[in-house]
Amino acid sequence: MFTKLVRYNWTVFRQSLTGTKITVFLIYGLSLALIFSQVISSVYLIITLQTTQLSQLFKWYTPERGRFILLAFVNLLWFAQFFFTNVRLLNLKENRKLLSWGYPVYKLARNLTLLAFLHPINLLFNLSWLALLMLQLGSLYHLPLALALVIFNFSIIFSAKFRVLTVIKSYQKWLLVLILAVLVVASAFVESLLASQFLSNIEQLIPQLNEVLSWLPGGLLGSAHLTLYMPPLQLAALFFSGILCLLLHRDHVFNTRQSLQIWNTQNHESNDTGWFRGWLCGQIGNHAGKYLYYVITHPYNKIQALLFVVFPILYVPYMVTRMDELGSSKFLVLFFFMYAPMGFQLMFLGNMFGYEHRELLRSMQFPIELIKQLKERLLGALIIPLTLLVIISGAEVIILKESQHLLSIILGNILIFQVFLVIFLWSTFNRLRIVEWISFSFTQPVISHSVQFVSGLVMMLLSAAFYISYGSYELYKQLAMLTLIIALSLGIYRYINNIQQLFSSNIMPQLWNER
Amino acid sequence: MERAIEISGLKKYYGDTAVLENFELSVPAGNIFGLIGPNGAGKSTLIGILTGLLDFDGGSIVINGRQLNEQNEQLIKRKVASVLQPPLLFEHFTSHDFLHYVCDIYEIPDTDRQQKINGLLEYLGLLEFEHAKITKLSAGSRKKLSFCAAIMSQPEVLFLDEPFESIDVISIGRMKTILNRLQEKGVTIVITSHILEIVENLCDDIAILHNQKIIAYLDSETRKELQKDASLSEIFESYVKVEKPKSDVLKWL
Repeated sequence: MFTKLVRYNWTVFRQSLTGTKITVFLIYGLSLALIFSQVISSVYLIITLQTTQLSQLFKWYTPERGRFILLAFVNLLWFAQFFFTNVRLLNLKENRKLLSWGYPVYKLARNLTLLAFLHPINLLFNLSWLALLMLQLGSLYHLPLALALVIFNFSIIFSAKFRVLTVIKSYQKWLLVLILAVLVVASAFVESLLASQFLSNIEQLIPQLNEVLSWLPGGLLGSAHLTLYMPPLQLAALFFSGILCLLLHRDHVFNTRQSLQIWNTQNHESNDTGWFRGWLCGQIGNHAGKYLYYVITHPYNKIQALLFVVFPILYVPYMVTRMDELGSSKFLVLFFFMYAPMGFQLMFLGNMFGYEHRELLRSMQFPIELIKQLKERLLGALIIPLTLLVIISGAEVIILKESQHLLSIILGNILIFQVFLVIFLWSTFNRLRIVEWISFSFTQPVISHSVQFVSGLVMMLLSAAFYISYGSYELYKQLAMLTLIIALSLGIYRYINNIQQLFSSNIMPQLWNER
Repeated sequence: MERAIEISGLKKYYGDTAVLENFELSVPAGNIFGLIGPNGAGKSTLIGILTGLLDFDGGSIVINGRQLNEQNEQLIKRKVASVLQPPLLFEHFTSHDFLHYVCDIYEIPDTDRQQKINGLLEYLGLLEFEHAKITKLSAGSRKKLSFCAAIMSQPEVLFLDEPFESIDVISIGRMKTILNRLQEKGVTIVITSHILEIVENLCDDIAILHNQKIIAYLDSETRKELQKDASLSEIFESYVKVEKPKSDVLKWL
């Protein structure tokens, strides 16, 4: 039955693949593999080479520094695992159909839990941990213990993340306030640290930092070999990890079973955000207002929006004070600034017709010209990203007025915005993706990790190309950028004039056939 | 007789497949018109074209004296309403917000709007769901709400695709009453349904659509004559000429 389930999920996944999706997956997979190999090889180097060998290789190396690097890496790995472990990996909507064909719910939940564990991304993390632990523990005799620890770690992350998502779903408003407050405090803290020359004194703080890092989850797992060297201790750890793994497995199965059995309930839930929709419609028109309301109120998008503003807010104080000292890596600051407009473009423009499903046909029946509705929607979708672009560019003009490269920066901002506008406009008319609203924790997110990751990567490359100074060739670069901006503007203008035809030929038939 | 809908030489293709080819149909004004046919006959596609959702590849359509083309599309859409299958509703609105949104679009005056909405909702047993999110409504309630929205837009031509599916008996009776009232006011109503008993009782003229064309047009006089000896279902079968399955194909059951 399990192999049949694997085959079924593989078929569902394969049928959802398109050329673009495969390309995005490939870039995502290769980048992840690259990052992993970097982290693992660094850790491998530190673990396997003797301290003296490393000291000979690198003059700056001391055992304390080595431990600091190791702890930093393992914690990074743990947080990356927490971030990338996806509790929505399996298509619950499709798998739910198996229940009507007599697949027992408990068995299905159990098998799906096992499938989630075997997902390539999760396997990549778990095998990395296994390799790390085995390197530290030293002999194959410790394999059961290492395995138990890895499974235990994965189970803890899976359970914790499920609950974090549930909490986020339930307390979004409070969470928003909390995150903003934390951001303000963190920004002030970072700034005060920078002002107090913290970084130049970091050398003396390494022992204390090691102490803190070793108590973080990644540090605890990465330092397990230091405490679990005695056989009785190992046996006890194996026993308790085993029991905890079983308990956590039951927890996962229970959560999956609950999600499998969630259907649209018949309770008459009232719509307490209707005033917001009304306000939006009043401001930007009925059609655009309704679309924006759907995008903004989608549970996943609220979190997404928060993430898009986190980076710029964190970097504001840094940029204001330290721009001149950054040298060639200055482009990273500018990259983070443009991250928000790009992110919001992705959110609002990347899939303009996937939120309303067939109900969009209702709007098309209204006695309002289709082109008018489409242009209104497009303008509505552009309002927030465009406003952010103007604010950010304006702020850069004020802050960096002395900079010689101000023109390149502004041109770069416009160009990055345009490049993504072209990409997302293409995607919206050629890659319609029907967004699901059911059960937040287990549905596919609106924008998948892979798409976000690849967009970020493209953005980074563009930032490097546009913001880094070309020295005496700067003027030529600016001219080339200006030409590109004009060319793209013309292209976008022509594309927008053609959207009615694109909508009728690409989107309408798909919506009509969606049942 | 005045015609509400006149279709001639209509063509519609999905890729290379013809869904409608040289299709002809004429619907009298003020008629409750039944369009019946087996699955895949092209009924929903025809409704999609007539409500302006699907393009067509040739031929001409005239609705209430206006040619359906880019120039007249908005004018026609203002006078036409529909209930499609599945119904097209704004899922994340409440019933109240959705109906008001539709009224805003069709510029229905504010004065007695709420009173009309409440009256309709109450009559169809939806009043208790007025402030419920549409996504939470049952299939039948959704269909009735879509029906309310269509009525509120004050159409001259009303297209109903499977309007009675999932609806309880009491509500079907009330919907029929509303349709009869609309007919009295001169509204033309086109109904597609597989529930032939309802079509039989409710409709004036009936057309049978099969293999992309109208194979029989039964006006009320012809129907009266034919239905002396047979039910609509039997008449339908005789026209569609469905091949009877061999008696032993279900032997394994």
